[in-house]
Amino acid sequence: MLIEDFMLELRGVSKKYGFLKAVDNISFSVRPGEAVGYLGPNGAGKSTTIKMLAGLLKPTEGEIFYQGRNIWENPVWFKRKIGYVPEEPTLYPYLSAYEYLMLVGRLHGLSESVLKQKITGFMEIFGLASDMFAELSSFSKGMLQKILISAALLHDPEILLLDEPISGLDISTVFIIRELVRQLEAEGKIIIYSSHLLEVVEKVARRVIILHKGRIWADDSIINLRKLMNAPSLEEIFKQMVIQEVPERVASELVSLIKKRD
Amino acid sequence: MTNRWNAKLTLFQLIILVRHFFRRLFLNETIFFEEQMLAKVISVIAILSIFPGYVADALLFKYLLEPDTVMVPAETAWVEMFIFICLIMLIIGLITLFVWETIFLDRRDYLNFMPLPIKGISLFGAKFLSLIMFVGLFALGLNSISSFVFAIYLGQSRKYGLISEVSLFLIHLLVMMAAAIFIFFALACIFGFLNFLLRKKIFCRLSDLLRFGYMIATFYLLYLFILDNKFIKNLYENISSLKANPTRFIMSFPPFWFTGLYQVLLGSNEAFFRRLAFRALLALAATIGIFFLLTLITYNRYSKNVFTEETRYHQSSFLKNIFEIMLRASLLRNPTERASCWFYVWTLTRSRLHRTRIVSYFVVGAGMAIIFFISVGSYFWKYQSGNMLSLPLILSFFLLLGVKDSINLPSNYEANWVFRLTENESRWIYFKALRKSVFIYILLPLYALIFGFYCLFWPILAATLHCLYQLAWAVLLMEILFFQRRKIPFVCSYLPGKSKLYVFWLVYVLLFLAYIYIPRWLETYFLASASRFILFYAIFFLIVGTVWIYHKFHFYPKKSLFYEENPEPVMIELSPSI
Repeated sequence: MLIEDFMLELRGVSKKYGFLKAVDNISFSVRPGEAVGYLGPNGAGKSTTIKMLAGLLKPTEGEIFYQGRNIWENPVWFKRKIGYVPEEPTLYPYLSAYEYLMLVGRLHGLSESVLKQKITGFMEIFGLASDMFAELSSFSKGMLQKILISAALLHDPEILLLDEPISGLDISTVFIIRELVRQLEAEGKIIIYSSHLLEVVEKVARRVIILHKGRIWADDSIINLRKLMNAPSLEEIFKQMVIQEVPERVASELVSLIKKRD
Repeated sequence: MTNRWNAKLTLFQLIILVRHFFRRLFLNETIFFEEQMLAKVISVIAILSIFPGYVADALLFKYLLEPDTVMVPAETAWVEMFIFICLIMLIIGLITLFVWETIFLDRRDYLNFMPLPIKGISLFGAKFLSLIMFVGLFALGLNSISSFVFAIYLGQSRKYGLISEVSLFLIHLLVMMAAAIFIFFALACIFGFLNFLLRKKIFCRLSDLLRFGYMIATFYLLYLFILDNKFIKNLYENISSLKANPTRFIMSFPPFWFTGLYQVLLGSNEAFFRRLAFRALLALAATIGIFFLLTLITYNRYSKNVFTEETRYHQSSFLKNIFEIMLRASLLRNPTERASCWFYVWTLTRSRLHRTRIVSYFVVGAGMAIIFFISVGSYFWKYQSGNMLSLPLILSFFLLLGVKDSINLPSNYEANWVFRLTENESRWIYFKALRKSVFIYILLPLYALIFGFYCLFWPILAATLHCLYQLAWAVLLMEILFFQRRKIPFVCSYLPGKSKLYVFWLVYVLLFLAYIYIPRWLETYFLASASRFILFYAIFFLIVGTVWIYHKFHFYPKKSLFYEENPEPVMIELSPSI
């Protein structure tokens, strides 16, 4: 079997909302054991792509394949393989963390004993053991994020779709997640890491895809991009490719707007 | 900044806040009119206005037929006015119960507005104005037809001209508005007192209980207004005689106060009515005053604890754990089924919106069941009494209808990706879990209570057989209501008006009549001997088994699930499962 047979592949995928093209004809593939940073400014189409990969949104055009099978023709099979951390922690507020993770684990068909061990383990590692039975409505954003990450990992997925996974997390958990991504990559998982935080992406991914206005502007390893763009860091590469305005000028415009009076 | 600018800003803030608070009255845990709010409010008021209009017509029709001097309405029509004021106060009271959590400023309001440069007076003033607008809107809407009826019928008998007709119309509206404001703020004060005195958890429970009790009583009384002519007739005779000998009761019963106000405004000089009118005005001022006092007290309380909120914990008790283990080993062996089942149960028990929805349906059933129970009369201990047999059917019908309606409402729609990602090939499991959860957590407790009730009147064996027989019918009804369902409960988006009650109301009425009459006709046959009872259960299992097999092997393997409500079809299918 060739490694290509295990790839996750997008072929000419587009997503339209009415007249607006949120994602425009994008194609890329990710191999097992590869963590890809998915970058782009607000509204670039990152979350839309992640949602299409998770099977939550159907592409208007194009197809997505995993292991050579069209994911929209085999949605249930594919969804078993993925772990998804959404951008917004929208959970059922009246459930406790334990109940929520039990719900997700059971829906994945995990056995009760394994599930309990996993949940307790995750909660202890993330420092939520004492809040395990508290209602999610009382959780902070960071705590909810930890629950989402736990829920995504419960069933040991082959593909991890992480949409801004560390937003709201404390710094020690950020380090843990960073290291976790590296280790899961080494385990042969496919990881797509969507984020605004360039320095984090730089540390977790060797390859980045830069998305702008729904299109792919760059898809290469960070080392190659640095050489190509003659830039010392990912931030510089991103600035050169995507940021068209001069930040200093925009900031001073904002300041004058704030000061404006009758 | 000038004082004028400050005043302008305060006024602007007041307008914004009034609009905000008014909107929130229609967006709370009990009612949630997020979409097409205006259209929904207008349609609710329009529907509500019909009933008082009909009652006013029924009460005053005689004054139209006999507009002679024998019946001088200013003296005789006060009884009808009293009955009508009772009705309006009941309905406004009922409406109040749906919004009473949002009457006072709550934690969310304080959290959002406290950091903003808003004067306290603007905040409270806006809240008060929004409440007055709310009651006023409903009072005017409710009386939009009845005011005409009162003005025309009473004016006719007095041979009044156009100006007098208009003044009658306005007096009617004014009195109804006063009565509505009084009952609204009186209930608000009760709510405020309880909220102040009790802990949040106890308060929520008690609040639900009070609401439940009041709703049942109201529906029961409303049924009496429609169905029981005898009740109205008796009321007439007794009230008329009360005027001659006013008791302490008559002087302290609020609808009488506003009847007095009505009569005084119509021009009566009788001391009896003047005393009542004075009490009405006093009561109105007192309730509004107490309301302001309570607002200040709750403000004090909230401003101290605004950034802390009681965390609710959901750790299973020992007994609950045992019960869950038993279920896991017996009825809920599949993990997906277990997950779905407990998700449904948690949502129903913890989401106020869903719970209240079911309770609202159940209350209508309970009110109707009380009517049936009372009409059993002197035969009610006898097994042959038909109405006595129908009680569980009425209750289970409304409860199941409530469940069906409630599960269509999503619980945090954006969180439904959990179900979308984990969707199983055997989709039947989600719906099997639904049936099991409704059976275990709704039907069984209901029938256990009903069984206890029957045991008070009947021998245990008769009560057992009757409950078992009717439980089977409830399960059959559940199968009808959930037939070919393709939306996982609480997960699919919801389009208001999709239940198409305006199309299906007749189907539901026929289903209701068939459901409460057919089983009771057949009951005497099937419970006549053990062999017939076994035959009944054999037929029952055959039907349920067939439906389950059809769903499992034929329907769900071919049909996908819905997560988003489909747009309106061109042709409407006449199926109760929609």
